[in-house]
Amino acid sequence: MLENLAGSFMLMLTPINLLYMLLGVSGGMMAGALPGLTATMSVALLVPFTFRMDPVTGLVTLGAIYCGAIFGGAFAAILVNTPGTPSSIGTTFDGFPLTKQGKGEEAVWAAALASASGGLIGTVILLFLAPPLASVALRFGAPEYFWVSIFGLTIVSSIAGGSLIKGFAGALLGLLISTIGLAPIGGEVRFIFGMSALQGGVSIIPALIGFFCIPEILNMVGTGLSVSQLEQHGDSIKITSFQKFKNTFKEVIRMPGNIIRSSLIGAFVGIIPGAGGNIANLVAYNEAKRISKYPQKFGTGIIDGVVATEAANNATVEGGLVPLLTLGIPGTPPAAVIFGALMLQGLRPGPELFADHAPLAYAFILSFFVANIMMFVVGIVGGKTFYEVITKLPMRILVPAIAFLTMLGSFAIRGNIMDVYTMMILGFAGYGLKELGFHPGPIVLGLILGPIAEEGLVQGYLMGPPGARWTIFFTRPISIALIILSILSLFWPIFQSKVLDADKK
Amino acid sequence: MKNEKTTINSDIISAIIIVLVAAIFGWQLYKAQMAQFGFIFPAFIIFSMVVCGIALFIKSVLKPEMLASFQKEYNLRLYLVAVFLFAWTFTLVNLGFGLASLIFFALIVLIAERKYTPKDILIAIVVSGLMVGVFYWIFTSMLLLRLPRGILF
Repeated sequence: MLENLAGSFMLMLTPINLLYMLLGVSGGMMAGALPGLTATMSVALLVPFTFRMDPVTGLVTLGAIYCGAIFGGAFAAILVNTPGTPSSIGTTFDGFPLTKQGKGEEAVWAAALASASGGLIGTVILLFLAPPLASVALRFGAPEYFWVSIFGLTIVSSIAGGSLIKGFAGALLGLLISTIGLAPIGGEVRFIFGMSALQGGVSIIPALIGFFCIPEILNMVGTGLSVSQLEQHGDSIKITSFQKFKNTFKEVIRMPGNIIRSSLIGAFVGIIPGAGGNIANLVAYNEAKRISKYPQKFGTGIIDGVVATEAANNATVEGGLVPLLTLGIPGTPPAAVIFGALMLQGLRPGPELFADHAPLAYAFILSFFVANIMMFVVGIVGGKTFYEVITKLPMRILVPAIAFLTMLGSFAIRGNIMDVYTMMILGFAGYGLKELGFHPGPIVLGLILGPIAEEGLVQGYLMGPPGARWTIFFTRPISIALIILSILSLFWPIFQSKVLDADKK
Repeated sequence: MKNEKTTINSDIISAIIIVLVAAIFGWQLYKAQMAQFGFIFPAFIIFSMVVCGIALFIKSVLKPEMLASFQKEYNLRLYLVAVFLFAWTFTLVNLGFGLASLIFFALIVLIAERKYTPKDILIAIVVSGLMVGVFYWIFTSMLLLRLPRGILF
């Protein structure tokens, strides 16, 4: 393996590959920053351009785009409270409050450093631990997927905002919206209210844009404050950008536990086929809050929250490639697109990839080290530029510009006008619910986890022994571990608040 | 007294909304008469929503969360923008993505600006033309996305 690594490193490190990686990271970042243009779309759109490239160049370019797009989502999440991709939902929780405090620049830099760290840790895992982890992922059956989604739903207790009951009600609402359209098992049509366009269900991206973006637009108009004016409400001391960068860098590297834990969560969630950055970032946020010495500060604008979500979502990039490269099973949707790109280059993902094309496979894996370092550098420079542009734009331009991009983004997903209608209707509903104290996070979490939970529940039920079908959910080792984790996660915030109260007394 | 805001019992309104949504979806589920596989999961969610609604109702009596909801500094402007956004969305097909976006982008710029001199109107048109034009070109010519075409483009 070691001789392969040295040769592959040299194969990957050519000027042309480096140039394409730089372009890929930058392009991916820009696409990721636009709500509606997901990492999957960015990678898919650029696959045709890699057909004529040398296989190594094509693959390293796609990998760089993927890394950049996942990180790019943080820009919109931090600066306009709208996740650019579903992988940065959790970044809004502390990122935007930081912007309101006048610390948006620091938040973007922290996201860049955390994303690069997450990506580098994910690459180490992909390089050295891929085969054993892929075999663990294969043990996940329907009952385990059901419990994974239940574990995911316990996060509501951390992200509910003010009221826990409203948090759970919001998650249930999200779950209910996710059931609109065809049932995953049986194929019956549900809740379409006579509109055949709803048969395909509510797509996550338009719902995500609606729930996060439209309420923010209306809020900006209602308060008359743009991001630049919100900033003046902050109490940041005027210091130079370099000093800010130095302080942020120090603050982030002082939390290695948070970075490593979140990256491991991200890599592991990415390995499980069907789960991705959209779940990983929320799980990592929940764990960071649970383990923190100051959990009550999460959601008010602290760097720890941004670091947790960004380290996790970039680690899913490499995590998602573990089952793809070792077993030929894509772990995430963009990994599925890369699967297609590999096939087009005449390479079959799976064990034979390492046997027959080892230098190429290792060159692809090693390129993530370079791409993540590039992403950090471009992220620092690009982040500052994005920050300057967003904060300098007056509200009268920012509001219609965001509205225009939300419509364009919602339409671009499937080329379906119904997605734009859905986005707008859910956006207004989201505004109303936000005014009533509902946080959009649990609603979107329900929407993401709904299909996984339903499929897991019904398929698991069908897998169970006749006469005692439900027992399958409680007898498999991974299921039992997930049940214990879910119980711990659900009751931890209550236990933690009791401990904090006792400490105060 | 200008800035004084009245608070509302947000829990009771939330409880009503949650129960109402559960009732609408529950009625649809009952009417559809589905097989077990398509029924079991939504039925469980609807039941849980009713439970949450009842819990919110009890909370609204015992310990209500009073919020100054729907009272912003510029409520009229907010409602106007909301109407424009709604109209923008629902005219995309008939007017076309480009034209609808040009019109409503400019209208929102004007509403947010609150200045209506010929110069301001011209600026609004130029800004919206540039923004819509650039992104329209990127999405249709570079990303080859077929945006809805209406009466003009």
